[in-house]
Amino acid sequence: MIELRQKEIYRFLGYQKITPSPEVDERIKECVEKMQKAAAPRCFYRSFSVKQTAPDITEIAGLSIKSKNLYKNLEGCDHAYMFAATVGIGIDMLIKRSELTSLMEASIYQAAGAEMVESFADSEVKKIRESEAASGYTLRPRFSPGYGDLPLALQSDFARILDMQKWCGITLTETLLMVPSKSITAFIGCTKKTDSGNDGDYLAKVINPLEATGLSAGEASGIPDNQECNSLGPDMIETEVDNKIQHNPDKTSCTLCSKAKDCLYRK
Amino acid sequence: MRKNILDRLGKEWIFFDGGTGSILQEKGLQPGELPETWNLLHPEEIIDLHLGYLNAGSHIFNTNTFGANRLKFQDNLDEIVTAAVNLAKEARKRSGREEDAYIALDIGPTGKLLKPMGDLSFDDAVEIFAEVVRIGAREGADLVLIETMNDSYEAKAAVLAAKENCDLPVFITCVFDASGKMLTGGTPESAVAMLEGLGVDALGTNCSLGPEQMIPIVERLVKAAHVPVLVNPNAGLPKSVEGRTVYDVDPEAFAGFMKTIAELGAVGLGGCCGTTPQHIKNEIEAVTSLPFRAPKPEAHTVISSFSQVAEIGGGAKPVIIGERINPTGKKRFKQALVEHDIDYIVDQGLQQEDAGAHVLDVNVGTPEIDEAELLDEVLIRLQSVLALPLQIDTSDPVAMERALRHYNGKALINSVNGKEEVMHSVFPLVKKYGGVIVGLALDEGGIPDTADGRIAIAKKIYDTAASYGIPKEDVVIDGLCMTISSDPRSALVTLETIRRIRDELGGSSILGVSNISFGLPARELVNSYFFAMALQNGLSCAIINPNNQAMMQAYRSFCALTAQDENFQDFIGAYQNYKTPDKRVSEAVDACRSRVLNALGISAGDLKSSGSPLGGNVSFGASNGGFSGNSGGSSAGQNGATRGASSASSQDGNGNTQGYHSKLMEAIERGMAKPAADATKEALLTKSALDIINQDLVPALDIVGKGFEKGTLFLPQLLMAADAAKAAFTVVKESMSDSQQESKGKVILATVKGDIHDIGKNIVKVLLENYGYDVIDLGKDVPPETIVETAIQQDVKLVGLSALMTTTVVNMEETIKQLHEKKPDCKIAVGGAVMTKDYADKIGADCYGSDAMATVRYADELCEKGLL
Repeated sequence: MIELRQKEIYRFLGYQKITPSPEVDERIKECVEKMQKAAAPRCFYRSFSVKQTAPDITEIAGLSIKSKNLYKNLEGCDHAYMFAATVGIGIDMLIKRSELTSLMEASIYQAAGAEMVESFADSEVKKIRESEAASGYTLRPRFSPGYGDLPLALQSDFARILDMQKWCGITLTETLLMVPSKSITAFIGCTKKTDSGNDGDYLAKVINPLEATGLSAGEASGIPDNQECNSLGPDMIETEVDNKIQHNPDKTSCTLCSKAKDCLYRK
Repeated sequence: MRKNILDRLGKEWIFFDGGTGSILQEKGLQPGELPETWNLLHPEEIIDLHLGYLNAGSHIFNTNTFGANRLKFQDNLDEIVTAAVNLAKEARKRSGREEDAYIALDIGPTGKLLKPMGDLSFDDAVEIFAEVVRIGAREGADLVLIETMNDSYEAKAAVLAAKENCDLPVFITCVFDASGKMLTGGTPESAVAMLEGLGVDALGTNCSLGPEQMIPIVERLVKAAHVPVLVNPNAGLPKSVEGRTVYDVDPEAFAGFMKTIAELGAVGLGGCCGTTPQHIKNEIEAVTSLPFRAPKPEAHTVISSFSQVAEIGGGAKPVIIGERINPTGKKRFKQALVEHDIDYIVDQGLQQEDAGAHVLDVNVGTPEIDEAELLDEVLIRLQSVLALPLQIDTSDPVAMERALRHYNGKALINSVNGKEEVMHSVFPLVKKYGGVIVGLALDEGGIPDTADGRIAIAKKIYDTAASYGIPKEDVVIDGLCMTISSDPRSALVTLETIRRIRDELGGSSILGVSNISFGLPARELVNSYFFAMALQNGLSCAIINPNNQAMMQAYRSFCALTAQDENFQDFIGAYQNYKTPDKRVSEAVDACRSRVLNALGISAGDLKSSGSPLGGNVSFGASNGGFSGNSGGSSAGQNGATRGASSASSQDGNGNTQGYHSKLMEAIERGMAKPAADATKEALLTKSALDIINQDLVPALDIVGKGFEKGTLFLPQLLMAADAAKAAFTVVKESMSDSQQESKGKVILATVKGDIHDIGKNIVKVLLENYGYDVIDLGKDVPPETIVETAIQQDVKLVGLSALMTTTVVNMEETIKQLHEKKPDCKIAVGGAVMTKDYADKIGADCYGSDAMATVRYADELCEKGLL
């Protein structure tokens, strides 16, 4: 069973400080029970050595990746994990069915599904953290393809290198979306350096390339690292809940996201 | 001369080889490097790999073609597969095992998930596998081994490809996790039912687990299977140690577990990831010390979906087949078919599942439509949202073949009869695709009016099926229900027939139960009693309406009375709050009375304390007089009273200033779907459907929508209200199915290419529909071309696009560009969390949907201007 944080589900559903009515709570409870039965969490990861030989270039697992954000995320790391996790296609089936019968339930499954894969990934990363700590390493926050200036195209490399289909049942569509939809891929850097303790220092400081530059999304990848948005902290891409970066909820609450005004989950 | 492998498998121990990828990694294969390229780059290493297993004693060894398909090798697939088979031949020659080693053309998954969950179509998957099969067979493989299948639908595609493109034996092994499930939910039992139906020569499991964890799965496979069972486990579970993947079960321990597995009845044994020639060598030594003992499979009648099985007859609980997906005598259903309203049809399925059906009959035959096309579409939609096995019900062999091909499981097939022509057109399909066939006990001579005549036809059907290789277990005889109103003895003949099917023929039976009462009043009385009698006479499956309480009461009571309901779980679950009809009526009267009193401002307590006992008749009279002015004299007093009562309570409840506030409005505002539907039914007694939409439904949604826009209500409340409105709307639509419905206009909605986050789009869809728009939902990940084509073809003037990822907004821009070019009079609304007003303007959208209500408002605006 995957432990779900009720507060996170509320947050995805748009509740901030108020508590939902008992009716809504009851519906959430029913949905979560079905999800726990339908979930088939799987996770797979491998460790690779990391080299950063030129500015913005990170070499790992035979890949040479140009990304300012990833470079910063893995700076000072001698090895990193390529990580994939999913809670399985059963959750997508629940979503699909509920889309026909109840939008309310569909949105609960979406919200709780996002929380479920986050929570599962967190628990798996915790295991990695503990084993790395034994040899004196600390972990950087997860960094996913599609986040910041890290190209989504890397999903294909994750699929190939981790044999994701075989070990986790994660497949990609032609447009590089993961199926099951509640899945995560990420790099997780390991370093012996003493880190700042603030995950935000290693995450991309952009929420939305469009907002930052006004360019089209295609043009917008590769934003200068120092170009900050008017947000206070290292926001996640709120809408890409499936791929979002692990963050410290206290410091980077969804309410601080500069997209909060328009965010579907907050309405 | 090498014997055919099928003459050996199941008669002696047959051993497979072990891991390929893990060995190649030892030899230097890099992470992410495609192992099949080594057929060309390092042929000696591949021969060496084979020699390892041949020398260890494997009988069957796999070509290095696991991932060889056109998705991964666009340019040189033929070369890769050809080389693989030839390297295997060379290795066999060098090992001196020409006489007793067999080359298996190894086929793994495509790496894509099939539609509707993924984006690869079933037919494309078949073709992808077919290509590999053709090359491998041409080059001289001895058999096809489909392995590591973790989706039953893809497994079916691979088996069909193999059977259709070569004459070689076809073996298949699937992946189950520790809980016994495939990735997409399949179980050992459901997989066996489907794969045996497709005619595989052997089946089993491989990969994912170590041998010890596989034991419970092997037990289930051996129990369910009638063909030889194969088991190829990993050498334990993979672990990452210093960047290398290692496995934790050594050859000796592996061999020990494999001996246990052999004792359970598996007859083909090998290994998968992490196993080495040493593992196989130890395994062979351990297992060959056991005397070979072929398992004796039991015959049983099973149908399946992708994840469930339903067992028919043979002591299993009688099976309920839901009959509601069928246009016969249903106007609303016919309308849905003609209008291509698949959601309505699928919803009929979901309701029957909730009501307790085990199987759903699917019949969409109506004159105005292309049955093959529609049956296929409905079937695919149904199997994407529910897990019940389906009964494919059509008399059109073309429609039947297409449905059977795309069905993800082993279907119940409705039907054949004793007519030669029918049997010879349908049995070949049953043989090819698998399935349990319903055989109607009638033939060229019509319907025999005696049980003797029907039993004789049943025998003829069994015999003809057998001549096609279809066993008796895969035939269920329909004893035929003819209405007693035309022949008073007909029920007796039917009951005798099903009893004799069980007792004399040892077969299973089925009936379309409700035919028995045709032409009589109070049909559910006759139906439910007859149903219980039929069950007592051995009926194995019943085609009924599971939404009919009397029928399900008869069924559940029968099961409880015949020890077929363990701990009365079903019965108690359904009826623990059961109330007799008398009790229900008296409660309704009481509730009504207290509402009236409330509305009058009198509490029941007041009345009691004043010492005047209240008679039901008195209060009823008062309510009719005082409140039901709009309900008319003929309608029940209850309607008028409740409507009056709720209008009073809502005024002081929400402080709404509107004078009119109906029970329906309240139900919608509070997001209660069932009460909303009930209130609509009630309201329909006194109001026209259109009035309900305009005076209740839309105003209630408006109140909620405004609250949402102001920020006093949250998304979940809006969604609950939308659900309730939808439920009310369904009832309204049902009542209007005779008349042409007016639509305010057509709107296309789509989540743009590359994006699968479509919840926002779905919310807008329901809201638009509730507000009277005709929504063409193109779904998610939709290419610009599809949107433009649809807009032009159907002359749509408003398109709503959503994108929730920054990376897909470019596709939105492209869609807008193409729409402006090719359909200039079409307005475009955009929405999604990454959207801003500025950006919407920049990419040329006409409307920025800042929230779920904005698109509705915009559509209304266009509608008023006459632009839709």
